[in-house]
Formats: sequence, C-alpha cells, structure tokens
Amino acid sequence: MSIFSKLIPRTLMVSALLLVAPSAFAGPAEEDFVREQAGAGLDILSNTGLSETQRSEQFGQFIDQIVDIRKVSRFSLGKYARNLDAAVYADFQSAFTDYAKGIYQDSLTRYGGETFLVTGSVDRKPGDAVVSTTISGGALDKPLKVRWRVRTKDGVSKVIDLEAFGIWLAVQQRSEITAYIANHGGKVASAADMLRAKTAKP
Amino acid sequence: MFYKFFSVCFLIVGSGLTACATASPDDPLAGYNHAMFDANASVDTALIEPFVKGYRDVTPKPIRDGVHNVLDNLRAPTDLMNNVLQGKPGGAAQTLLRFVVNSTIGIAGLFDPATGMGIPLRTEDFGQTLAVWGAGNGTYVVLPFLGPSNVRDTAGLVVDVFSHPFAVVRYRGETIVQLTRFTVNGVDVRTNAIGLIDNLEENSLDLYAAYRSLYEQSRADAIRDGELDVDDLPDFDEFDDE
Repeated sequence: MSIFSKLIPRTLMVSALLLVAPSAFAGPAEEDFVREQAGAGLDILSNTGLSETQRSEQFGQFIDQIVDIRKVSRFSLGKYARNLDAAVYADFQSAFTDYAKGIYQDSLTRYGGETFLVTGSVDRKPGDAVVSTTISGGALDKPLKVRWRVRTKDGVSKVIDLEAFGIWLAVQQRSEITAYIANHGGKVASAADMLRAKTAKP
Repeated sequence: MFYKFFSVCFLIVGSGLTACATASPDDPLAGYNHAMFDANASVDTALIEPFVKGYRDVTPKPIRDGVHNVLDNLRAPTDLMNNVLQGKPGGAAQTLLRFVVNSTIGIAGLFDPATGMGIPLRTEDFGQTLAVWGAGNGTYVVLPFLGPSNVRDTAGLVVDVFSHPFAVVRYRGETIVQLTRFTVNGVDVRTNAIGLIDNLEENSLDLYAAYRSLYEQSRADAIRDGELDVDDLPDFDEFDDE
C-alpha cells in the first residue's frame, strides 16, 4: 500500500498496554485501576502453566472484565447505533467482541514481557479520564506511550478506548465499521458477518 | 527539474481514472480518491511490495538502518525550517545539533549517535506549520504513490520539496539526486511498514476508511506534538445501552 505508512501508528501495538506490569505510583482511582488491571493481564500472559486454549479463555474473561465492550461496540456503530433492532445489535456485539479479543490477543502475544509505568492522568469530565502510561523493554526498541480512556460509573471503572502513536483504537474501528456498513446498504448485519469472517481466519 | 517527476506521476497514475464512489460533504473527492486508492494498491501489489520485500530479504538490517539514518539526516533542513516557522526554538536547536552530531560522529548520517545522546529526531513539515498557523485540513485527497493527504498537507509537501537545499542549490545532476532520494525514501518507508500494512490488510474491514482514519489521527497527533487534547475526544455518553 502507499508509502505514507511511515505515519501509520502501530495500531495493534496498542494492545501491548495490556501486557504491563504493576508499578508503585500513587494516583487517582483511574490510575490505580489501570495499574492493577494491567498487572492482571501480565499474569495471564506470563503464566507458563496455561495451555493456549486456557490462556485464550482467561484472556477473554480479562477483556470482559476491564473493557466496557458493550459501550465500545455500540460506539463503533456510530450513527447506525440509533434505533437499532435489539436482535441485530446483540448479534453485532457478539461478533465485535470476538473480533476485538482476537486482535488484542494477537498483539499481546507479539509484545509480551513489557514493563509498564503509569505517568499521570487527566479528567475529560467527571467519570471520564485519560490515564497516560509508558511501556518499555521487551520487543520495543524505545519506550511506547499508551493512553487509556477510562469511564467510571457507579464506582465501577472500565476502559473504553486505547491510544498509541496518536491512534485511538475505538475511533479507528468506528471509521472502518461505519464505512463498511455504508458501503453495504446501511445493513449492520453485514458488518457482523464480516467481523465473524475476520475472526475465523486462521 | 524535480517538479517534472511529480507532474509525470500525476499524469501516469491519474490517467484513465473514473469516479465510482459517491461524493459526500465529508469526502467531496470520493470518486477520484477511491480510484486513486485502488490504483496505488495495484501498483503496490504488482511492483512496490515485491520489490521492498526482496530488498528486506537481501539487505542486512544494519545496512537498511544506515540508509534510514542517512535519509533522516537529510531531512534536517526541512525540520529546522519548520521548527523555526512554528516558533519552536528548542526544536530548531535540537534539530541543528542532531544534524551536526550525526553528520560528523555519525559519519555523514550513517549512524545515529544523537538519539543515544538524548537528542531524538523531531520531525516537522510545512503541513504542520500551516496547521500551527491556523490552516484547516482542507479536502481529503489521495495522492499518487504517496497515499492519503489533504489540501493543506499537499501544499506543505510541495513547499518542503522545493525549499530543501537539494532543490534550491543548482548543481550538476540535481534531478537524479532528488529522484534517487525520493525513491530510496519511498523504499525505506515502505520496507519499514511491511508488517503493519500486511496486518492492516488482514484485519481491516474497509481499507480506504482505515488508511484515512490512520492518516487523520496521526497527523492531528503530530500537529499537537503528541500532546493530549481531551476536548478533541469523542463523547461516548450517547452510546449507553438503550
């Protein structure tokens, strides 16, 4: 593809942030959330006692735990999320969840063993914060800055987006999914089918 | 002259293209853009990708790194000019110091001791300068060979190309020198992006939209010098489950 790609951030490297190790860095609740959950992700990846299937299952549960996948999947539909039939949405969400987990896991495997530091956070508005982190070591030849957008509601924090190299993953996914739906007669089901096809690829 | 090369590129790649996709306020050149995107992809698949994969396979990494370092060093005048124009004296000084270090200790830029000395590359281009001066993106446009851009960044690219010392100073063989730099730079960039592009092509639902989003997000980030602007982030509240 075209040579502008020097500018292409390593979208999948975004997922590397899930490989991180905990550090002793005091901060607000969202920072603690990112630090603790990142450590849990690292434990899953570094557990040599797990088979690939077990690791995959535990990682899936981990994503379910820390990512507000319902909100992210609805966000990825953009304008097509409005007045959407419940059954069609449920089908899309299922396909989207499997697709997202697959992408995360691929990257986690590739960039395993990184170290991690929470470097700060900023509130966008109450309950909507961005936590900045740095990952270094392992496969990375220089430190990678990763930002986590965390939404807290009723005392429960969940990740809703991740950023590395200036690319927000959910924003990127929304661009692709809404374009695909637009090119397929506005049918959300078509995107669900395509997501399943992508996920099923070996 | 170097501009002739660009003209020929536009004529060759642009010839015979017809508008197929529907224009929209968000993408008024959609017909042309999709056709050019497809043309670029065809050229890449048929020529560029096989060539750069061959280059990667037969060229040892230290040599490829050396080529990359030289190209980075050669862009120093562009970075320096745009750091100055954006009112960033620190960035300008860093660029100048880096150029001196890598041109001398780094043996004409083959090596990059400056980064190890805490003087990393700070790229700035005239598209970013225009943005800092208040210019908007302008219409999205896909360029022949170069891919995603917009009116502002295309204008910036032209300024950067023709303001570089290689284009300003008159010397024997200037066209060859510039064409060589352009070509080698393209090979270097595309080689470094092999894995990323393969991954994108494998996982993306809509490549055109994927490239556009990647370009727009990464350019916005470059203009902000990687700083976070939370006001630019989309609101998720309206996507609560109904």
